[in-house]
Amino acid sequence: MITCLADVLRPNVGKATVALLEHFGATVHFPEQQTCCGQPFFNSGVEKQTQQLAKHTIEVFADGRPVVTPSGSCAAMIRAEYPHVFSSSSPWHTRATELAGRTFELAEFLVHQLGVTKVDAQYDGTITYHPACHLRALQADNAVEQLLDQIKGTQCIPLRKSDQCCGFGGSFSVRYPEISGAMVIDKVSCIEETQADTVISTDTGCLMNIEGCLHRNNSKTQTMHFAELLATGLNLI
Amino acid sequence: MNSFTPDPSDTKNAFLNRVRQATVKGRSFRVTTPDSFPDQLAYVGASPSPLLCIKRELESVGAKVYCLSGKTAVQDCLNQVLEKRNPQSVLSWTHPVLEKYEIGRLLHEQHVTLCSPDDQNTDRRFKAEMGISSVDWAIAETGSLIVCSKLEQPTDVSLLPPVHLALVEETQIIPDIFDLFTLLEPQGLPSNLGFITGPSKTGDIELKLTTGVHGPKELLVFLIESSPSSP
Amino acid sequence: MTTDYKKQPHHEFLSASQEALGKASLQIALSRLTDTLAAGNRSAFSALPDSDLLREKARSIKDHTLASLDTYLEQLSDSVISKGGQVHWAKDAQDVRNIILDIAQKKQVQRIVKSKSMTTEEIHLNDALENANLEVIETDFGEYILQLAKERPSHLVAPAVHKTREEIADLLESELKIPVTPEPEAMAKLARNQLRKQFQKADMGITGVNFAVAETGTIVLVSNEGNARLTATIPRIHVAVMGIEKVIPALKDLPVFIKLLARAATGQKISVYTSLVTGPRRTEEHVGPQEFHLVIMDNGRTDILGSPMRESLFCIRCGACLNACPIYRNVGGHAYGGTYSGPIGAVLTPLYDNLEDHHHLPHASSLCGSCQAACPVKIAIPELLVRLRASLNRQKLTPFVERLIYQTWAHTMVRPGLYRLASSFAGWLMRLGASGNWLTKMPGPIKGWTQTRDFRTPPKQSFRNWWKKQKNIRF
Repeated sequence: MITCLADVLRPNVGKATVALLEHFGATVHFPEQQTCCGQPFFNSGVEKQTQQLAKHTIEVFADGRPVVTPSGSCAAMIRAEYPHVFSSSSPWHTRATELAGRTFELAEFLVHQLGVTKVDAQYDGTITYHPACHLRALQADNAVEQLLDQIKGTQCIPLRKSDQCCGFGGSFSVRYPEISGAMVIDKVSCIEETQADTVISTDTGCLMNIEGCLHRNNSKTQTMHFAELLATGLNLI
Repeated sequence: MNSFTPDPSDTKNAFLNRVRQATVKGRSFRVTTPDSFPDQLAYVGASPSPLLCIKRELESVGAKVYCLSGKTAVQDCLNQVLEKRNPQSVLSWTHPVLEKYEIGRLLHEQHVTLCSPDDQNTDRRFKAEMGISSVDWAIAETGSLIVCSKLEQPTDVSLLPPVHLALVEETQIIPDIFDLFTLLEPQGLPSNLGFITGPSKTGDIELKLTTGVHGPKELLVFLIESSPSSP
Repeated sequence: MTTDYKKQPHHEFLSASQEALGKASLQIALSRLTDTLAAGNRSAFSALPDSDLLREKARSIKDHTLASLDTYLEQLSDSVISKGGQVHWAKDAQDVRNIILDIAQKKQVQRIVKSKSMTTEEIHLNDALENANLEVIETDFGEYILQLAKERPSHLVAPAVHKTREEIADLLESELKIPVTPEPEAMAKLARNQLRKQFQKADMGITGVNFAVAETGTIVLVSNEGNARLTATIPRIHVAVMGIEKVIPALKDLPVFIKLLARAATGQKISVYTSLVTGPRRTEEHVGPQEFHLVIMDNGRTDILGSPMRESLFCIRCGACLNACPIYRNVGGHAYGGTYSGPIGAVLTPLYDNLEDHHHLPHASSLCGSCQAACPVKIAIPELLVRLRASLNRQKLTPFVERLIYQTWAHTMVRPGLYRLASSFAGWLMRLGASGNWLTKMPGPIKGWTQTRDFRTPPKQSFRNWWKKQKNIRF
C-alpha cells in the first residue's frame, strides 16, 4: 500500500519500498484501485466516510496477501482501528480484523516477517532519526533502529526530544497552524542541533512537515524516508 | 445562604441508585486488562542492605542522617544537635525508643522546655522550634518514615516545628512499601498515618526547589544500628 | 487576568492559545516544566521494575472498581461512619456548596483553610464560601499565589508555573504589604509565616481526596509541602471532597497507586507527605480534627460512567499527560478554558461542561499518543478525543462546510479514477503557484501552514503512474 501521501507527494518512497521488498525476496503486487486507508476521516470523527474508505481498502486488498506500507500511521490505522470501525456483528468487522492481521509497516515487515537481520548497505553521511508517533501504536519494537544500525558508513546522531510529535497530525496542522508551526519549529531546532546531513523518518506526513520548515530556514539538512535511505544504501535506486 | 438539607437517607439512596444505573450501563465499556498479576510486582526492596539503602534514600530526599551505634553516641549526638540549634521548646512523643535514650532527661539538662503529648496549649505547641519523635516503621525503599497518630504520638510533632528529629532504630526498618501494607491491619488504622519522606518541599516558583513552606524545613534522622548488646 | 470562564461567554481557545504562543515568559516556564517533569516521569518509570505491568494493574483496579462503583461507595460510607466520620452525598456542584455551607453554619465556622483540590476548583467552592462571608485561604503555595492574583490554576501539580519569580514577588508585596526579594527561599519563608497564622486561627480545613479506600474508610492525601497534612490535622473540622471515581476497593490496592502517582507526576519515588486519614481524632487523642466529613460528589460523573467515555474516570490527577503533551507545552493550561487542562482536560472539560462551548478542545491535538504513554493508568486519551470528535459530527456541531468537504473528499477517494484526476489536478495547480519546487504561500484555509514552513510541490509523476509505466515495460 503506497499511501495517498506518498503516491502523490513522494513517489520515490514507493519506488524504494518496491525495490527493497523485491531485494529481500518478496514479489510485489500493487492493486491499482487503492486510494486511502481513511485515517484522516477516522481522526476527524467522520464515521460514515471512514467506513466507506475502509470498505474500499478491504476490497482492494482482499487477496489474502500480506499488505506492506511505508507508513506507520497507515499501518496503525488498519491494524489498530479497522476492527473498531465496524460494529462487531457486521461481516465487515470480520473482514477488517482479517486484513488487520496481515498488515505491516515496512521496517517491521522486513525485520519480523522476512527475518532480515543483516543488510549489506553503505551510505556515507550523518543522519538523525525522528520516530513517527504512530509507531507507538504498532509496538514495532525498534525495527527501524535495528535496520539503521546495520548501514555502514552512516553516523546516527541521537535526536534530542526525539519522541516529541513533529506537529503534523494531519488535519491538526490545518486547523491549528500556529500550534503546529510552533511544534515543527521546536522539532527542527532539535534536528539542526545535531547538524546531521539528513533526517530520517517512516512517515511521509512527518517528512513533508519537517522538510517544509527546514527549507524555510534555508537549512542544509535534507529529509529522507527510511525506505529511500535503505534502498539507496543497497544501490537499489 | 441556603441551609436546606433534605432527608439524608433519601439523598443517599437516590445518589446510589443513579450510580448503580450508570455502573451497569458502563460495564459495556470495560477495558481489556490482564486477568492476573504476579505477586511480587514492582517490589523494589532494600539493597544493598536496609540500613545502607535507607541512608541513601533519606539523603537523596534532603534529610540529614546521623549513623549512630550505642546509647552514648545517640545522646552525644542529641546534645550536639540541641547545642547547635538551641531550641527554646520542643514537641515530643512519648515512646519506648525516646525513653530508652533518656531524651526527656537530656532536654531537661539542656534547659529546653519539653511539650509532652499531654500539653494541649496551642500557642506553646505552635511556637516549638523542634519536634522529636521515633517512628512506627521506616521504609528503606523510599526513605519514608511512617508515623501513626495516637495519644502519645500527636501528629503535630512531626509537622509543626521547623525542625523534625526522628530516632529510627534498625529494627524498625522494613524494605518496601508493599511490606508496610502487609503489616498494616485494615481495621486497626490510626486516625492519621503519615508517610514522611524528607523535609517539606515546593517547586511552585519556577519549579525551583525550596524547603519548609509548611512542614519542617529540616528533617534530621538518627539511624541507630542494632548492636549485639542493645537489640 | 480573571479567567472565571464559567461566568463569561464561551471561552475562545483559538485566541487564548495564540496569546499564549506569543508570551515569551510563559513559553520559558512551560519549557522548563515539561523538560523537567516529563523527563522525571520517564526515568522514574524505567527505574521501577515492572512499571508497565504495574500500570496495567492500576488500570485494572480502576476498571474493576467502576464496574461495581455503587457497592464500593456504599462500603466506603459505612466504613467512614464506623470510624466516627460523617458522609454527605452531593449530586452536583450546588449540593457540595450547600453541604459545606450548612456544616459551616451549624458549627460556627468563620475561617477556612484549604489544601489544593481540583475538585473544589471544579465546583467554584471558594466563591460560594466567600459570598457567605467566610474567610477562605488557599494554603498550597502555588494556589495561595493564585488566590492573591485572582487567577485559576494552569497546571495540576504546579498551578502557578505560568508566573515568573518577579511577578510573584511583586504580587506578594502588593497584597501583603510586606517587602520581599524575588528569591524562592525568601518568598517561601514569607508564605510560611503568613499561612501558619491562618492555620492556627482556622475553624475548618477543606481538602480534596487522592484516593478513598472503601474497606477501611480511609482517605489519602498526597502533597509535597505538608499543607494537606496540616489542613487535615489542625482545624477542629476536616471536610474532604471527592468525586465518586476516587474510591478504590481495599487497603492492599493502595500501594499500587502510591508507587505510581509521584513517579508519574514529578519523577519522585513518592511525594514528601502521604497521609492516610481514617475518621476524626480518636476520643483519647488531643491532636487532630474533632469532626471528619466526607462529601461524595457526582457532578456529571455518572453520565460519563455509563458512556463510552468511561475510561476517563480512571484519571488519578497526576498531570503526567500535561507534561508530555506538545500542545500543552505550547499553549499552557489557561488556554483550555476549564478546571482541567492538557490532554485529560481536553476530554473532561467538554464532558463536565458542554461539548459545544468547548468544540475546539477535542481537535486541538495531533493524536501523538505521548499522553497515553505517560499515563500511570494508561488511559487511551487519543481514542477518547476521536470519540468526542465523532460526537461533534453526530451532533452537527461541526460547520456545514467542513462536513461537506469531508463528504466530497471521501466520495472522491472511493473512486480511483476520480482520485487520480483530482490528485493530478491539485498537483498541477500547486506547481503553477510555486517558485521552483516550493510553495511559500498557500491560500485560504491552508494559509496557516506557510506561516512557518514551505510546501514542496507534488512531482509530475505519481507513484501509480510510474508503476503503470514500468509494469508495461516489464511485461
